[in-house]
Amino acid sequence: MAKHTILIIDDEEDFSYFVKLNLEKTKEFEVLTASDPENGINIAKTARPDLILLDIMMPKMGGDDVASYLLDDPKTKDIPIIFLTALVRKNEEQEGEGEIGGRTYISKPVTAAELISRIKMALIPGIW
Amino acid sequence: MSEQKKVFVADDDPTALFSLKELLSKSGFLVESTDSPGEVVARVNNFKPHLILLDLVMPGLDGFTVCETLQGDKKTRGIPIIAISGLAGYADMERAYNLGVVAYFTKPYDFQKLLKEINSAIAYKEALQEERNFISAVLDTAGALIVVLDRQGRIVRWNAACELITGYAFQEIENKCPWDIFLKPQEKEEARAAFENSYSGQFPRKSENCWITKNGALRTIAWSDTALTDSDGTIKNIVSTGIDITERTLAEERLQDAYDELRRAQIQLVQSAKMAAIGRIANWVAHEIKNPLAIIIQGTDYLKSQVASEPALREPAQRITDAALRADRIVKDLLNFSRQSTSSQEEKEIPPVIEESLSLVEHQMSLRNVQILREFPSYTPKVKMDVNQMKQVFINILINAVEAMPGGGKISIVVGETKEETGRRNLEIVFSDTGEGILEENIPKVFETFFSTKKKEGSAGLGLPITKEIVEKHGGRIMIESKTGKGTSVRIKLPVAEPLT
Repeated sequence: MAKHTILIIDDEEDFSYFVKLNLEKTKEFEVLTASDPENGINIAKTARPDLILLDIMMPKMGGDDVASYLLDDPKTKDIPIIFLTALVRKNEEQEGEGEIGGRTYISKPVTAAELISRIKMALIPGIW
Repeated sequence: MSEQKKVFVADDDPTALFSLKELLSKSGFLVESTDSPGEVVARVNNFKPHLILLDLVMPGLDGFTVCETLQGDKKTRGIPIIAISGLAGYADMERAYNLGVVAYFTKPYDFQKLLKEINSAIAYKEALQEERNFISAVLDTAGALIVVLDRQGRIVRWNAACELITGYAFQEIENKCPWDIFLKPQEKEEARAAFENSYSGQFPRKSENCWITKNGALRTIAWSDTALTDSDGTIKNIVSTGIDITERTLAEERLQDAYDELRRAQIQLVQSAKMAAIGRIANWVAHEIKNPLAIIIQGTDYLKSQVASEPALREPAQRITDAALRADRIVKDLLNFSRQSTSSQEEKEIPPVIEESLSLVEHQMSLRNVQILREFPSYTPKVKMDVNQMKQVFINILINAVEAMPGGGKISIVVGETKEETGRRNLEIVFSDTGEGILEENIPKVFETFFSTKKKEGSAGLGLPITKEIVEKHGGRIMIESKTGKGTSVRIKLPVAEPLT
C-alpha cells in the first residue's frame, strides 16, 4: 500500500517533530514539516501532499491566510486541510465534533492515537 | 376706650336682682338677667356675657347643675362665674369652687367687693385670652406641626401648620384621636398602644409615621413628643412636634437608589473588566501552554510506542501523559470560564436536563460506588434556560458531590416548586450528598474564583464560580449548606417560566 504524504505546517518545531515520529512509525505515512508558513506553501505546491495539518496561530502568517492561499492555487486547492488549534473550549469540542465553521480541526493537545485516526478519516475518499 | 363689658345675672329674688342690675349698670356694665334658673343656659348662650353672677340656691333647677352645664359646654366654659348664695357652708363653697366658680359671695355681701371681684375676673379672663391668642399666634407661625393631646389621646389643640398639611380644619378633628383620622387602618392599634404605654416612657420621645391627609395624600412626619405635667408631676398633656419629612425621605430614597445603581454599575464594570482581563490571560495561557502540552503528549506517546514491551518505562511515560492531560483540562476550564458563550434560551422542564447531566457522569459515579436517589414530581413547571449551560451547572455539582465521597455514598436530587412571599414562583433543585462536607471557614469561599481544595487533582477552582454565574444569569440563586462529616447540600432556585394557569 502506498504511503500517504502528510505536510505539517506549524511553527512549533518540536510538535511537528514528534508528530512526524508518531505518524511515520505506523509505516503508513511519510511526513514533511515546515515551521514557516511561506515555506509550507512552497512544499505543498511542489510535493502535493495527500493532507495538510495546518496550525491556525502562527507568527508572520496565520493558518487562515495559508489556507486561502492554498485554496486559490489550482495545484493545491484539492488537498484536504485539518487545522490545528490550541484555542478550543470543551463545549465546542463536544458540540462541533471537530468542526468549527464547517472546517475540520483538531484541538491541541491531541494524543497520537486520536491524531492518526482523524487523519485516516479525512483520507477516506469522498469524506473530504 | 374699651368695649362695654357684659354681665349676666341669675337670681330668683326679684328685689336682689333689681338692685344688683341697677348697681352694675351704674358701674358701666351691660346687664341681662333672669330669675328663672331654667333659662340661664339658653340666655347665656345668646348674650355671650363676659361674666356670670349666679345664685346657687334657686327653685327648680339647682344652681350647681346650671354651673355644671355651663362649664361642660365648650361655648360657655370660658366664662367666669361668680357664685352668690345664702348658703355659707364650707361644703357648698368647696363644691362651687370645684365646679370652676372663680369667687363665692355669701348674702349679704359688700357690692364694692363684688365689683372689684367682677372687674378682676374679667381682666384675668381677658389676660388669659390674650395670652392664649399670643401663644396661638406663635404656634401658628411655626413651620413645624404642633399637636396637643389630652390623657386619652384626643387632640385638644393644634396649630395652623397642621391644618395646612392635613387639609382638616381644627373643628373637624377636635377631641378625636390622631390615629383614628391620620393613620392607615393597620397602624392604628399599634399607635394607640404606643400612646397608652407612653406615660411610663421617657420624654422627649421621637418617632416617625405616615399621615393620610384629607385628600388622601401621604406625608411622612418625624415626631418629637414632650409631656406637660401638673404642678404635682402628673402628665396632663402630650405635645407632639412634627416635621414633614416627606420630601426629605423621597430625596433620601432617590439618593439611595442612585447610589445603589452606581454601586451595581461599578461592580459590574469591575467585574467585566476583570472578566476581560481573565479572558485575555486565558487565551494567552491557553496558547502558550497547550502547545508545549501538545509536544509533551506527542512525545510521550512516541516514547510509549518505543518502550511498549518495557513496563518499567511505559508507566513513567503514561504518568507524564496523564499530567499533561490534567493541565489541559485546567486550561480548558479557564477558557470556558472566561469566554461569554452565545446562549440559546429555551423553555424546558428540569428533570430531563438533570437526567442528561447524570448520564454524562454515570461512569464516574459507578466507579466510585455512588448511588442516585431521585425525587422528581410527575409535573414540574418549565424554566427558561440555556440547556447546555444548565447541564454544566448540574455536572459541576454532581462531580463535586462524587469527589466529596471517595468511598462511595448517596446523592439525592429533589426537585419541587416553591413560592416566595413576593409571589415569585421558583423551581428548586436540591442536591445533597453524604460526603465529607466543607469546612465551615471554607463555605463562604467556595464561590470565589480560583478557590479550590482539590488543586492536586487538577481543579482550577472555577467550577462553582462558573456554576454561580450561570445560575445568576438565569435569574436564579444558589446556596450551599454543609456539615463536615455529614455532607453538603446545594440548593438552586430558578424562576419558573410559564404563567400561573
